[in-house]
Amino acid sequence: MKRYLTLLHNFLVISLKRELEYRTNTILSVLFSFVWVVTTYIITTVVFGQAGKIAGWSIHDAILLILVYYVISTFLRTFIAPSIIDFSQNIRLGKLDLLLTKPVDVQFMTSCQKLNMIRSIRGFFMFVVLMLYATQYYPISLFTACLAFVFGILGILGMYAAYYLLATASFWFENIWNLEELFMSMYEAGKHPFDIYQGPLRAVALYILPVAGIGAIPTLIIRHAISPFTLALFACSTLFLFFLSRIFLRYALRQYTSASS
Amino acid sequence: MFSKLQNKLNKYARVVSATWMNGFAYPLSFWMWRLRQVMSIVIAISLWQSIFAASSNVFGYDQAHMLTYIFISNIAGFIVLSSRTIEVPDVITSGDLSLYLLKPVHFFVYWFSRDIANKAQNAIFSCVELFTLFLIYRPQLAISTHIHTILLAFFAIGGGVLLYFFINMLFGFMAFWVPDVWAPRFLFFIIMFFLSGSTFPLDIYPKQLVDVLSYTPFPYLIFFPAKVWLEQLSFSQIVTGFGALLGWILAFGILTSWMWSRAIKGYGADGR
Amino acid sequence: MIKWAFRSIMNELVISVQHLTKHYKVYKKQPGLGGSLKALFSRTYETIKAVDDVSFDIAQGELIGFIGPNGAGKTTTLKVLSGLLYPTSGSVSVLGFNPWDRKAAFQKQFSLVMGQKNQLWWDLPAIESFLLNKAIYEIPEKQFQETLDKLVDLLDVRDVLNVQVRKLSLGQRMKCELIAALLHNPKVLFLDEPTIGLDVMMQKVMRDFIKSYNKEFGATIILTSHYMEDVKELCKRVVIIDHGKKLFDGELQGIIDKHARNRILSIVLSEDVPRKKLEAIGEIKSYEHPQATILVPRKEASERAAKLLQTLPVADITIEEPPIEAIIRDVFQTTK
Repeated sequence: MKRYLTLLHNFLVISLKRELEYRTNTILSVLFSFVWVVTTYIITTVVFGQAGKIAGWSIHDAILLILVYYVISTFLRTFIAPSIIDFSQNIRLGKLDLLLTKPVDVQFMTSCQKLNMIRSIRGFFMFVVLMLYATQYYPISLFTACLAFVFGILGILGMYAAYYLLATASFWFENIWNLEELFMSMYEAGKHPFDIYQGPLRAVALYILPVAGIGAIPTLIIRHAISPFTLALFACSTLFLFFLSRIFLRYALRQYTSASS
Repeated sequence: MFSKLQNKLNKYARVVSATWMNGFAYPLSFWMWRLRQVMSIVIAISLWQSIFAASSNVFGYDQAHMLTYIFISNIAGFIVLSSRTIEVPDVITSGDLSLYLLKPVHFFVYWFSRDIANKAQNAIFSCVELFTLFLIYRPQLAISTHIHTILLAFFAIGGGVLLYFFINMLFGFMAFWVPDVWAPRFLFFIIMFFLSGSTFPLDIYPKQLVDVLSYTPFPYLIFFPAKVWLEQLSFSQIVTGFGALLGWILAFGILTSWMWSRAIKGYGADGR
Repeated sequence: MIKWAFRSIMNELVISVQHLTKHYKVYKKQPGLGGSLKALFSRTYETIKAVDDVSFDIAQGELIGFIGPNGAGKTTTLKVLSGLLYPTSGSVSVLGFNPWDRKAAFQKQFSLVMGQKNQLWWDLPAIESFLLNKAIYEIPEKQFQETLDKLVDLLDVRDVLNVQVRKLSLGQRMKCELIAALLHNPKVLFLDEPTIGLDVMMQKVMRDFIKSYNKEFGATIILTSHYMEDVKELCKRVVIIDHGKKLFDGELQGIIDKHARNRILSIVLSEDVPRKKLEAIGEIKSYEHPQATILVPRKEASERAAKLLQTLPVADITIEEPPIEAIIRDVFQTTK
């Protein structure tokens, strides 16, 4: 365990150094996400200004959702996404061999190797904003807060697993450059007030591709608008996805043959 | 004489067919891309249906017109905004540009041909998808069937296609002078996302903003063609719109040609 | 009368280069943040003379080698001849055209093959890229089929034509790249480092191919290389370039005659001999009993060999030229 912590520490330091190297990129990246947040906020306000309530969600609900969604997706994009994309590329280029010979859990290495520290600071900042916003507009007990937090983590886990599953498919399909694009559109799904998705669509978004749910579930918890049954179902499906991803990876590694030159 | 023209056309027809085939080279990737397109439309439809459930008139649109806008702007979006010209910076920085310079091909026409293949793929598949979605959702749509409207919309979309092509070439050629084109281009995409009308009609914005925007090239990519088709523009607005569109095409076209001729002269033809 | 006209056409110069000079401006930047800031305001640059007053003529059907170390200016020269680079000064004429104009009529008659550059579409079968080139170069159907068949048989790649390029081995890919570059039957062929990165087998395949291509299609070929093997096997005439300057232009043998200062005595000794005795004959290059190699000045080679035979127990002796590589290295050293 200590070994993994030390490794994680090393990854953090290396990533930070690398980001400072590419200063322009970092600054631009911060600028962009700022622009994005601001414009999303403006548009949400404008739309709700005309519409009042959307599918039973008030403007506060929508903003809360956006904040939750942003914090979670920042976490994913900071700690997990870069490494998984590298992983997928490494498989394609046959560079995975180096990694496999090292005495560390493969899933850990491929998930955490490339981190994005500056973005994580923004995420932390938004997390603080989120907490302030939530406590201002909603009655939050300690229990609610913890539950929301736990399910936030679960959502992240589910998303991570889904991401990883698809990346593992790189073992068989040579080019998944649309991988990140697909997840972008799934992110998009999660940004909107969740109840706009009716019927079968809702079931898919919650349980099969829990991606859409990652922002929604904690928000719904805070709004006290969700049943324990749904929560349990969501928890099950995310945990299931996570174990599936580990099994799939093991299977893939066994079948693995290195790509030729 | 005529066969010379035929030969030239044949050149670029081949480029189109090669690019077309290339698009299907990775089936899984291809279907994920299509899934993504479908998802974004489904999200938009769900969102607007919910909004209109609460209030029947939003930003001057009723549900029928808004959904129509979604459908039309998606079609226009797929045709105008799909492009392979985004690969040009890589071609330049890797030095592969030399390969193009050695052959009797016109660089601009070559890449435009590639774009056409990509747009054709997008257009055909998205028509099928949109039709399927139409069958599922059965929305009330307000699509005009007047010939002159359709013709005008056709030209407006064509203009959007050319305009976007030149804009992409501009970013592509920046690679001659700037090592990393990613940043400015990304900024452009973000701006475009909000200001071209591809995700929602620009009528959402306050009128002053929309007026200011009409002096930029952005609305002419998607918003203008969609409005033309929705028959929501007055005659004078259509005329000024086309005028502006043509103006922007000329401006970007001349700028990119100039950039090209300057860049080639100073080109180091080095590879990496 | 007809014979004279025929002969003059036959000897027609295909490539003519007069006083070609190509300079590059390279901006120098100081490292660190301070340097970056300074660079915003004023940039110092230095001029690199990639090609410096080079002149040569090449006749139809010749197979010429350009040799020189990395950065000598060989590739730059080829790029100017191809129209990729704009000469700083001097004049260039290839097949009667000014390459820089990049006229279609010119481009249809020559080909530049650069070792590392891939023109084949990665995800499509090679044949698709060939058909694309057929359309681009406007090659008539019959001619295309004949040329393709000949090249495919010459390189033995018939069964991989319909396989996606990304699935081919390096050797097969390289062969297909060659075919793609030659489909339009270029009269002039520029090969930039054609054997770089290839294993010994593939190098031989490549050299054999170049030789056959020159014979069968009668093309004028310039190849650049820093492997002497390429040049030794293929080229009668050689141009040596270093630091942008032309150092030598003529037959390979001429270099040896002009620049080789030494000869090598390779001997096999029948008894143990102390080093000192061998040193008396000449400079010892290697001595591992019973074999030794000694360098002796060219003019005195026979004398010293005779002395060697008289004074030392020699079982076998051969007098050799030094390897071309060593001679050329000498040439580079002396003209620094």
